[in-house]
Amino acid sequence: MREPDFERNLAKVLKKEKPENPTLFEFLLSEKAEEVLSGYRLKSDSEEERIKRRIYACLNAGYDFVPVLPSGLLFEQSSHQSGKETYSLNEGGLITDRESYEKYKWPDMEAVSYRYLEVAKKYLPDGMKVLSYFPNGILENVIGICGYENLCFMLADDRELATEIFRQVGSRLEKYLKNTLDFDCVGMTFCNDDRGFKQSTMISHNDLREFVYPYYRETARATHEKGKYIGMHSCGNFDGIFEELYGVIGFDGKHSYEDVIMPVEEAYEKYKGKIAVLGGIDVDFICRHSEKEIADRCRHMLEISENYGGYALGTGNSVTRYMPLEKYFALLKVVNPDLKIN
Amino acid sequence: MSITEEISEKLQKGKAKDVSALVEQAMQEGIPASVILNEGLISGMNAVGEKFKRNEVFVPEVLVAARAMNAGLKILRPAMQSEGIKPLGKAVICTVKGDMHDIGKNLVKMMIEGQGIECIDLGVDVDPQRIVDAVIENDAKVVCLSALLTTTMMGQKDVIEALKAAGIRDKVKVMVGGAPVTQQFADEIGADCYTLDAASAAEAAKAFFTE
Repeated sequence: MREPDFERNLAKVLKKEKPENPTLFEFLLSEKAEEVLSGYRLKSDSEEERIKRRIYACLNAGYDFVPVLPSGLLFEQSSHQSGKETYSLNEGGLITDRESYEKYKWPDMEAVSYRYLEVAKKYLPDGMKVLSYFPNGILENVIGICGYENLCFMLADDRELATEIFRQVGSRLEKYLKNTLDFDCVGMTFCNDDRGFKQSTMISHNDLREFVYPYYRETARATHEKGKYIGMHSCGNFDGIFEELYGVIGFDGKHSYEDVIMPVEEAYEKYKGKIAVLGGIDVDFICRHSEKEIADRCRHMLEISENYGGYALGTGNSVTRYMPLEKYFALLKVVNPDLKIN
Repeated sequence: MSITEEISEKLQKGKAKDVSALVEQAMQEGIPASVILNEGLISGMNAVGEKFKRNEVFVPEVLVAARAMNAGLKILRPAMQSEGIKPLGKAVICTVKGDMHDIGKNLVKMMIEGQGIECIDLGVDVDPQRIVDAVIENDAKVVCLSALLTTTMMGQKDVIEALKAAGIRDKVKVMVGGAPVTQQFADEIGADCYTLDAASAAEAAKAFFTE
């Protein structure tokens, strides 16, 4: 089994250096992937059991870290249509105007517990660290609370209200991630916030700078002050603003790449040495190509990043429920050829 | 600056109230509805589309511009009817079966309407047979299909197959789009058109009606 070693592997990647060993990065694994990789049957539906299973899965897969959502901080949003696998970002609309804003119940940060980090610490093997992440990012939560098109109109009609809503969400999420930095088991924080689509970002670059990035910048500053690392996840096209992710905010690594926007090979050539490139093997490519083709592309990616470093292998987005597991395992085996599937 | 240019400019800035007032004023000045429509509203929306393609404006600005266009159209519609102005034609638009995403679909719809094409919006999670029925019922010349996921994009192929089974495939142009969709995929499933962005989709749709 590949031994986890966060400091010698992923931390070096995040420092844009060459890791001691080829390194893997994945943010979210499907339930099925966790189940099969861990070989562990949940004894109950408790979060402790789920964290334990995820740690076993990550250990077996060959990761140097495990993603843990520290607690159940939730912003109230409209429930999505039950029974459907997808949902519209226009669902929501709990805050559409001043009146609904005044009625909205914001979560009490004093009531937030970080007990899941204590749980993770109990089961964490030597060398493995925790990646602490958001229960959805700033823009995702604001869209969830307002509904996307409502938010777009609000940005034009009542920017003061939009500012207030972003502040309520952003300041809480900033505090939430900063609080996780006090836990020794946390090696890196992660701002997972889908802010883009194939052509561009969901709101304008200027609005991202005004409403979202100040909170990320402060989280990055606090993370670095503690000698830890910070990454980000977002789908979408960041052309015209990508440089600010590392140059202004201070993210050490960027996750999520799509072939239709910029294949990871191209992104690596463009940004190596500036920001760590995490994952990137396009999800659709993995789903639609053979195991050999997947392994070939992964090997090529490791080859081109071998001299410069700053790269960890993984999917372009996440191990989705619909991704055939044998194809995901083909990716893992490039780094972890002894991978055992129970 | 002429009043139609002013309408176009206010529309691009998303100023719905100003657009309504200017359309009203233009009508009172005796400017034909066709001129107000083409040189004011459609021209403004075209400019927004061009800026969107160049990433000079973002989705929120497009939505706000489309809201302004609709405000202007609401005032102009009675005059359009009395002048006998008809849309270029009809397009059926929806997100395919199993997929609830609607932002991309709504954006394409707004852009297409901005070209003077009537859109029959069937919504999201739409069964192929419902699309076939809508094409027949409305005598639509274009079908626009959106899908956001690898798992749902094959639904676009299902619609093409359903159109073939109904014997109307050669009567409609099928346009496909969405995050995982590529030109290669569009070719594989036999779609007539794929575009990278909503503004280009609207131009392509217009070309189908005017070619």
